[in-house]
Amino acid sequence: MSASSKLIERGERSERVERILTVENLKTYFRTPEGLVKAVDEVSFHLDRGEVLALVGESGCGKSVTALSILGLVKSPPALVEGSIEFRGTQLIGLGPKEYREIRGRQISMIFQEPMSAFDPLYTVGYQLMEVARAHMPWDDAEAKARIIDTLRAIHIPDPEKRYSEYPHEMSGGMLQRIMIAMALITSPEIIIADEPTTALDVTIQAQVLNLMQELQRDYHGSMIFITHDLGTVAEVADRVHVMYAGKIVEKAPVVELFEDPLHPYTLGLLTSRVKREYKGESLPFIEGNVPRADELPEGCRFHPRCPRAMDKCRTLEPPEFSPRPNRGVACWLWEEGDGR
Amino acid sequence: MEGTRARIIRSFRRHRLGMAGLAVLTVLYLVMILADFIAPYNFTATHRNFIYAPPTKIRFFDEDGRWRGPFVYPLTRSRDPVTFQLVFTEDRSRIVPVKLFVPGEEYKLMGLFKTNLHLFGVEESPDTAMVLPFGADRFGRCVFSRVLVGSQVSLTVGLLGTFLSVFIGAIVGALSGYYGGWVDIGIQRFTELLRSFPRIPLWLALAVIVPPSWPSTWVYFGIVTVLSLIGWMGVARVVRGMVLSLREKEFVLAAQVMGVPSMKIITKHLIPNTLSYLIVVSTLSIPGMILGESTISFLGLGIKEPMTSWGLLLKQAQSLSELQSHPWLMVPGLFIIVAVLSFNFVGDALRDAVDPYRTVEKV
Amino acid sequence: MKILAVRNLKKYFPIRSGVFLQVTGWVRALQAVDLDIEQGVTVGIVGESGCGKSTLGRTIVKIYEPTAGSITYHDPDGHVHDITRGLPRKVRATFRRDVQMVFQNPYDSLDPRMTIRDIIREPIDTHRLFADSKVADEYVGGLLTKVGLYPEYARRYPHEFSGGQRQRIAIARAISVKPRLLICDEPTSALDVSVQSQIINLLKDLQRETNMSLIFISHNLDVVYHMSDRIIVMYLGHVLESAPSHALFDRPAHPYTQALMAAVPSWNPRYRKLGEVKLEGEPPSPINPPPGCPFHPRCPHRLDVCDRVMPEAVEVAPAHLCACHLVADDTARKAKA
Repeated sequence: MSASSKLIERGERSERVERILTVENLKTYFRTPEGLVKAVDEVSFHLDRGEVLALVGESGCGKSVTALSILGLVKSPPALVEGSIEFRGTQLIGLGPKEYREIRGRQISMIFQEPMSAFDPLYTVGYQLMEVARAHMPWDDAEAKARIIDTLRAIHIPDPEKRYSEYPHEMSGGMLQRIMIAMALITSPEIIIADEPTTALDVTIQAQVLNLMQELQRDYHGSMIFITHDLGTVAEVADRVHVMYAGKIVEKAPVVELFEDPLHPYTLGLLTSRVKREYKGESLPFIEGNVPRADELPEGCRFHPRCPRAMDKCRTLEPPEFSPRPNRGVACWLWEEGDGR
Repeated sequence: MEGTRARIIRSFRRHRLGMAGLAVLTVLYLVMILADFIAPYNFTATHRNFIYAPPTKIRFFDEDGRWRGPFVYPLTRSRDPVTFQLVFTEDRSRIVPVKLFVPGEEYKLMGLFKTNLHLFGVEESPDTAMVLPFGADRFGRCVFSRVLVGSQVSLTVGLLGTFLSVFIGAIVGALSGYYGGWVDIGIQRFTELLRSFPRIPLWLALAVIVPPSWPSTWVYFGIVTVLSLIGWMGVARVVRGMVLSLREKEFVLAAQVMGVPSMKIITKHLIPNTLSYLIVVSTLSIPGMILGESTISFLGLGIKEPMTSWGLLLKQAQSLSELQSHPWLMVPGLFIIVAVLSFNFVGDALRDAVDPYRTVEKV
Repeated sequence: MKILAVRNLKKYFPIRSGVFLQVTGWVRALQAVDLDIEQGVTVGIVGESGCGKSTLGRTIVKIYEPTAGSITYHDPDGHVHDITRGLPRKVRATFRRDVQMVFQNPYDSLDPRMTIRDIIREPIDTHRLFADSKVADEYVGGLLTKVGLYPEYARRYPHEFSGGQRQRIAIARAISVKPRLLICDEPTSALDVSVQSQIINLLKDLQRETNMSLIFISHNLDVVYHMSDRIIVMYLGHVLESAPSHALFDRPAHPYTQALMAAVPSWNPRYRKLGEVKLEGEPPSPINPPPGCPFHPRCPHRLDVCDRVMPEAVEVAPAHLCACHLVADDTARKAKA
């Protein structure tokens, strides 16, 4: 766990907690022939220096689109991106493409899910790392190469000089994923956004990559937005967790509290539908129904058709974010009066 | 989400050039079907008084500037005493009105109804006055009528040839992709060999086989066969690629596991799933067929008189002096360009609609 | 009653290149696998990508032809058939009805151009279950209800359904011909977390009802444990360990099985365990497998003999087999003592 989050946990909020990203009322809508798709709908959150914030949710919940919106990679128009994304005092929404390039890759970098498709098969990985360095850093080629090889060594890649001149297809998925992490690190960014960085990897490799990411995050003291559908990995790496469902954040919590005291029925459902050893021989608990399609969102609370505790109100009114405990947030009518147990 | 068909139609409609191409093609094919009716004259009829007559001016006002409806003046032919060039002078003493639905030479509409009505024309002997929108050739035959009748060859050769070549190509490609192994290697190397011959000499070589003594309809089908014998290889390659990837799809594996026989898997799963691509490939290969027929006929090895086609019509416009003095003989070329462009536009639009990621190449 | 017995099964895929596609190498996907399937029992096959678990499923179901070894099929009347090479004509119909498969990707396993009715009717019609088409359609409706959908869905097309619903349709199709053995190849890994459990419950319920056998292939240890009576751990085409599920989870014998279990996240943020995972490196390529035990380059307990000799499977406990020199030594010592 990172230093700053430990401070928060002990209640010793000091001025060392520096807010570097504030997202407010972010809306990312797509116009499609079938109608307006509200991929991200009024999402607000913040990120402090040195912490790992996990965005968790199932397919189509808007977690990846949130990341792309922060990076300015959602083309607007045709998409509609509204609200406020403030990065260290700079408003990112409406920023020109040139200014955005200064920030993207240099100060905010991204790790993608599929390492194989994130690299151009025609160039060596060294060349592609060099491109990133050239674009953002004031180094000459010799220095850039030295630094790249240092970074590769830092992420425990054996024989980095040799790897430098290899092509992507000569490497395994796990190796490429680590090189992508190196690529994201070369510019020592303030924020790394990791979008399902281990989903395409096997469990033993996933463990290696997660360990590596944590180690680096500790050393560099950068911040990370960790996007995943897997609560297991969240428990391993996150400081704070935001659970997303159908374009909305439904619950915000420090990681320990989320696992020990989930407030939203959806979070509870996700946690209980884990396949535990105790269930052997019995039926598994599950959440009824299916994830709604982005173009057919239900009225009111978007989770109500699947919610075992849905009330009349839930069917018509969208719940705002309530804060029944310090540092917690939950968008559910059950918590309107304070205690939804 | 919505049905694939609805999505394809909508996406096609958004493609302006494609829609324009479709409209032009619709008109061309309608005209082709009704060619005998729209053509004012029989395409083989010669008119010695109108040899190399330029396109007729259709007028509406007479010498005094009075409105007289559409009409033409009779023409008289003479030779320039110095250059010996043919000169046509209008006889402005009387007018010959152009009318709709005038009786003329007898023909069978769409080969069914005997009639002598033509869409438009003049009620006058073709010795004195004719209406020739695109002029006349060296036998005094109406170029407009000939272009219309010629389209019956040029526009159908493309369709039939493509149909045949896609049929051959789809079967060969599907077999090659589904069975793989030595079947595949054999077929692939054979098609590569055929594809490595230069196209035009190969056409010519095959066209020479079609005996000149054959009746013209036989020649027509001969040309179709020649064209499709060369055209199927591209289709086969594309279909093979698609079948190779479809064969690994889980629904095909599922069918295998369920015990569905191979032939049924090919006809029920593989071919239907390549169908939309086949339509695209077909549309995109029609222009090549049209150009192929034109080339062969232009070089004198294809369609022969008295039958006619756009390529054959262009043959008359071969020499520079002809072009200089009778530029209207180039009109069939214009039709070839328009038809080819329209098919290309429609094909591109279809491809964008069916296959947004452009996985299928042009063949 | 036995349904299937697999002995010493090998499957090598040729790597071809050049103009005439000469074989230039082999992908050794399966090396000497033994497997027995009894009526009503679930065998789980677990391993990471490239371990050969999917190849094993597809070879058993006769999509692939094995390179060596044998597959014996016991038909419902108790006759035994050797189906290693092809499917003899007289067994074909019975086998193709008796053994069905559910695939990983529900977006890929249903023909997008067919209605749900036609999709489910395909095996029914292939095996001529009903003479009357109306009766068959009613049966399809009943199947849809059984897998938790509505009979009205029969008229729709696959693209109208979510991943979980499609997987239900694929299951309905597979069970329509009342197979005795259902092979499930990663049936839940393409699905959302909240939907996975629904599919697992459905499969379990169906098994209880029909007493069919399952081969459940997955990379997810927890899911395999929940589904299976017996689990086989595969690595690079070899079976490293094979045991009743309880025994495997309580006393994993092979270092790889132990590593695999250690690498599963804890779901407990107070006790983060991945930092303690000490497994280095990645699985070697099946084109160029290491000599001896396939796991030795990554094994924390490597012995001298490991890079030379592939260990034989020994019985560490009743019905608990493990192929590891370390364990073999231990067992031998215990036996002596």
